[in-house]
Amino acid sequence: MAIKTLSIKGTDSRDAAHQAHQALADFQPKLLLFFASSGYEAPGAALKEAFPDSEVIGATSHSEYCDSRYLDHSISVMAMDADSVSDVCVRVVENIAEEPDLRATLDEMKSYYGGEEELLSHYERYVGIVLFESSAKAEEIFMDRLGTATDILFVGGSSSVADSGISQVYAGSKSYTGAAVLAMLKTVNGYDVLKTQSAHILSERKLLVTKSDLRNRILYEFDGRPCGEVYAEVLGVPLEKIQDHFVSNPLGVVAGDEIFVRTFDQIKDDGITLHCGLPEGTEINILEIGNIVDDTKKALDASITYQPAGVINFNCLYRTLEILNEDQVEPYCTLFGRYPSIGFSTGGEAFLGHINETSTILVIK
Amino acid sequence: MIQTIITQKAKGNAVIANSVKTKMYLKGIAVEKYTAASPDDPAIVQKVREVAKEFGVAI
Repeated sequence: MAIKTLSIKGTDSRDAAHQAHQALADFQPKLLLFFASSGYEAPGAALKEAFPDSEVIGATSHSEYCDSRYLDHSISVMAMDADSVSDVCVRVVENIAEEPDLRATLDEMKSYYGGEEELLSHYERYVGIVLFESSAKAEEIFMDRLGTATDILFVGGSSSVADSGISQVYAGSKSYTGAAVLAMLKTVNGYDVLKTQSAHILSERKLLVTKSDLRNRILYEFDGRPCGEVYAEVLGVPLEKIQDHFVSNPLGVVAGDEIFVRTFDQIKDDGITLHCGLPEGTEINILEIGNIVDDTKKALDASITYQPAGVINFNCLYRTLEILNEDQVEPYCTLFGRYPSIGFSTGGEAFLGHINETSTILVIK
Repeated sequence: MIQTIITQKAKGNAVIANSVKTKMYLKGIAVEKYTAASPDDPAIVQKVREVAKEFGVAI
């Protein structure tokens, strides 16, 4: 068995770590990835104490997924041993709001594996996981710099919170805010990356972002006109009604066959705040949200045509809330019950860039 | 220029070529909108030069 998944509800972090240790008694994980309800205090430290020889990384969560289950106030754990992940290199980047240059960090990670040439010559083996603590709201700049510093694909998401506790990410025995955890995995049998957003192009009309504030995630103008006015025009609705369409009609950067969703937050002064900034010069389309279960099934079935060792699902919290609202939890979770899988409801998703209202999925073969 | 960046970065790896293309879209360069025959837009040309520099690619 190369990967094991666990769902734990403990009286506290120490109890949860004890349960994990018992469940994994005959297993030597190289990497322990976990998503813990924010109600648990310092779960990373407790797990690291229970698994001192494993790399331990994780994030707080609003709600968790494990195999065919949707849970809250729990900890979902994926333990990967040397049969699936032969090595792991973990680094933490703190103060991500200060937009640090990532070259030195990535150079360290590349050196750990023997350098860039080794990574590129065995590209199909190496993949990264990135876990953001979401309060910094700096994911798009970070992902841009990460993508500049390395060609290795990083998949992940941003922490979220339940009804108690604070947003954090974890590496080793430490907890972090305003940070990103990077893990570069050397897989034994390779990996696949999926991205499914259940959003489709509503209008073929391309809108050019002519004025925006990327860092503060504010959109001002499309095609030299107020963005709200143009958005209303494309949808054919009165300007004063556009907020009613923010959830069902997000924006999308269409890159070839892929859509990268940007969701609206609220109207602010003479602009609209987003959950992901848009640089000026970007062309976008207005989207319409489809059926999450149907689209997720299509994406999984098209890509996972084998029995994977494990599947990690970074599923947007908006999508979780929509699944709950539409009473689709069981059919959605049944899709992931076909594999050893864990996931959580994320405050933003990561793959090549920062994304909204999407599920990014890492499949370990 | 855009294709040069993609080709040089990818070094023949199709997955990297596709990811570089996507990264450029997310930086605000609509890759497939421009061809060798497209008229030069100074703002776009400048942006592409900056991206090439970030990627360490000579164009």
